[in-house]
Amino acid sequence: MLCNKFISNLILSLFVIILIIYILLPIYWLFITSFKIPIEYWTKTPTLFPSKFTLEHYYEIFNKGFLLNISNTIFVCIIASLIAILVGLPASYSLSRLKIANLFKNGILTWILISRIIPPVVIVLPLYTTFKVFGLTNNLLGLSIAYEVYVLPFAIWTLIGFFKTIPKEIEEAALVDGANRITILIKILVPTILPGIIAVLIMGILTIWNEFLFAYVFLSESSKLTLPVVIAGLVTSEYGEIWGQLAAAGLISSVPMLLFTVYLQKYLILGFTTREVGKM
Amino acid sequence: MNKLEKTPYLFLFLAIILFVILTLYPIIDVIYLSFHKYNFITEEKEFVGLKEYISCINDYIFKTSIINTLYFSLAATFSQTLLGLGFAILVNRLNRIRKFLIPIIIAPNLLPVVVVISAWKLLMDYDHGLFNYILNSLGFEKVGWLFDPKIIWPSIIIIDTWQWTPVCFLILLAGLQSIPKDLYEAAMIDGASSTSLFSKITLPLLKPHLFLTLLLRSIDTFRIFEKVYLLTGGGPGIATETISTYIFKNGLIFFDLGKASAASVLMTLTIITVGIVYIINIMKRG
Repeated sequence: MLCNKFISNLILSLFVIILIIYILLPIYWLFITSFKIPIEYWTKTPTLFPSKFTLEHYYEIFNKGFLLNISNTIFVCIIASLIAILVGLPASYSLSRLKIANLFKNGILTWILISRIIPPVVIVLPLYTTFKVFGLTNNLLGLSIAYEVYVLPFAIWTLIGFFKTIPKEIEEAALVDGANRITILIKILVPTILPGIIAVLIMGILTIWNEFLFAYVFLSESSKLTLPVVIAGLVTSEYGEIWGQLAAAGLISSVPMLLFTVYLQKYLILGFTTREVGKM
Repeated sequence: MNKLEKTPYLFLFLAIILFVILTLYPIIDVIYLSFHKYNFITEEKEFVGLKEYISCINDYIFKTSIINTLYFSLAATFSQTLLGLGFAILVNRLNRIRKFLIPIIIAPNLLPVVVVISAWKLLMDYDHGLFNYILNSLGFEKVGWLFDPKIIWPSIIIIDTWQWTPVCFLILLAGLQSIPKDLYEAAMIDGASSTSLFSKITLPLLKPHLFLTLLLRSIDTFRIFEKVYLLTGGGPGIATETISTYIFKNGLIFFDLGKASAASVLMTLTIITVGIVYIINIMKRG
């Protein structure tokens, strides 16, 4: 019995070790490549540690205006998440709490789910044509609005789930006291569903920070590019010498997102599950 | 009273405007364009009926794209769900180190897709990659991970699985945790073996979660774009062409908007057929 338990523990530990190597190897490889000198990653015998530590690749990418790309990405993330919350809060409140014709309500809910399914590549072309008419292409504000394709349906869907968990009596008491709907929403409901709002913000930021296709189509000027587009340019480059820059850029753009799992894991997992299957 | 009744609709106003501009209008536009021949120099649109659809269906590149997409979608969906299930079972058992394992497992899905592609490109490079170095030193021949037409799809499946297993894992872990523990205890007292515990309790109760995972992943994998576009560009030849890259190339590189739109409509219809099951399933929960 004791022997059996030992063997099953050994097998379990083995599984865990394999799992960790499988997941971390690509990230580790990116990490060390970013510190190697070009001759080292361009040889036929790869090394597990950089034999000569260098920061030249980081220096190079920041020399090329990487800081601007970072601030562009942050800008788009903030604007798009704010729009999603400002538009999504009243919409989800109305859909979950207020009296609306059932047909209308179900129509909107179905459309929200359909927008989750439609391939982005189908949307991006006609959207680009429309935005061009309004001068919103090659424009970070325009891109932020376009990103509502991804963020708004998720925001409304998640917030509806949270509104439903609040007992109706709280609102009714406030209504009797003469408060209007907007006051109730801001003063009473928003504080209660704060975890939901944080989850929406995190998932919104994560989605937009990582998004490639829309940014690739919408932005053309190099001073406007966001991180994924810049990195994509390095990936498709034929020159192996820039591997170090590719790794450095990739690593920098991953760090903020990886910090989410360290500091905001609870909200992240909440966001993930609500995004995929609704609030459980 | 009258004022109160308007509020619900006013609250929805901005959201509806955005949905109309961002998704409804583009879809209508795509449907409209799919019945037209578009001349990108004169910007003229000539009504041609179903002609663009027919030229799409007769295009062997489009046919290959469909086959490729279906093959990838099926293979990737199953490998991600299976691996996610394995991870979920493992973590569910190892309660003590769960806090340490979960962030590691979800890390791949937090990275930008372009970074995922970069990392694997370095590992899979023919001459300088780690994988071929290991194969070589073990006495095997080098593998053309990213250009051998026979290997390239498995490579992309590996990369996509690495990135998306976390999502399957999270859904299935939530499912496992929703199974009441006393069910297992009761069955164990009755002397059930661990395999029968799995097949008689875990699997049946996990079925809704498994079903949803498979649905979600098949919808998402069907839309594969970045990995193919950035790693192979659809090549060598048309070996890795997918519906998304087909639409993208026809629309944004060849400016054949009519053809791209026809392909878009066909793709959207296919995805919505599968998606309706997902929508009904989700609506029922709400």
